[in-house]
Amino acid sequence: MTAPGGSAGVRHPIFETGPRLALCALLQGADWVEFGTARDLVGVSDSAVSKHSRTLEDAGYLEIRKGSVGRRPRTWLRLSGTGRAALVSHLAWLAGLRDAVDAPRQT
Amino acid sequence: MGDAVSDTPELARVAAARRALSEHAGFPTSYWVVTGAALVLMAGIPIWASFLPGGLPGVQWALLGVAAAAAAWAVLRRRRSGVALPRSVRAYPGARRVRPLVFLVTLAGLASIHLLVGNGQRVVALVVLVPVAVLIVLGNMWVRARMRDDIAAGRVTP
Repeated sequence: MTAPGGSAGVRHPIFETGPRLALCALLQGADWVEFGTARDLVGVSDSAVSKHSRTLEDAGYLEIRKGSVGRRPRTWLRLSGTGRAALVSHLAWLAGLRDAVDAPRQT
Repeated sequence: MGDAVSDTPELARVAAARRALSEHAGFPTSYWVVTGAALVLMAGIPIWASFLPGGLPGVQWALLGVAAAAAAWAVLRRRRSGVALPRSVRAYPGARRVRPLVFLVTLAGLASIHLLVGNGQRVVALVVLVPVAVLIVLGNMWVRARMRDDIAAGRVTP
């Protein structure tokens, strides 16, 4: 679905549940973000990050890498190329929607 | 996307997440103080060497040690912070534009110290040394600030 007002963005409903959009926006600017850091920066619970990251991984939008720092196990998250493109498109759709809503108010 | 992103809750959350991440692009004040001090020592090598009859033997090993320590610190910081930002400045459109200017200023500053020492102007070189180091540090702070802005605006392309 393209945004009203002729914007090039396309709606991706997968980003509309829980903190998925914020999580992906966070990952957009980084190579990798550690699970706990992503949880703290987005301000959600462990289980929310775990559940939504798994859904995004299944959709091919997120890459999850498990490793360790010293003896501590760590999980790292990264936005895939597909996820990045989908996020940019969804954000453009949202911005187009906002502009379309704002336009009648301004006239 | 500018300030208008806060118009909808979804876009406001996106802006907040980006802002939170952008904080990781900054360095603590202590980092800049240590960098400034190290720059004074390293940029002043031609001056210190000119005061010693035998020059500074093994200075290349000291520089190698500084470089290795800086690289180790960067890796540790990257691991401990939980955020791995793109290493290349090419990923940051805003920072990419100012980086060559900072590089040129650094090069000009270091070359001027070399030239002054070569022409026997050691006192002038000493006077110039600290302002050159401050200018280089300020330039690098500027690049980091642009990186922060790029992350907060969602312009980064890893």
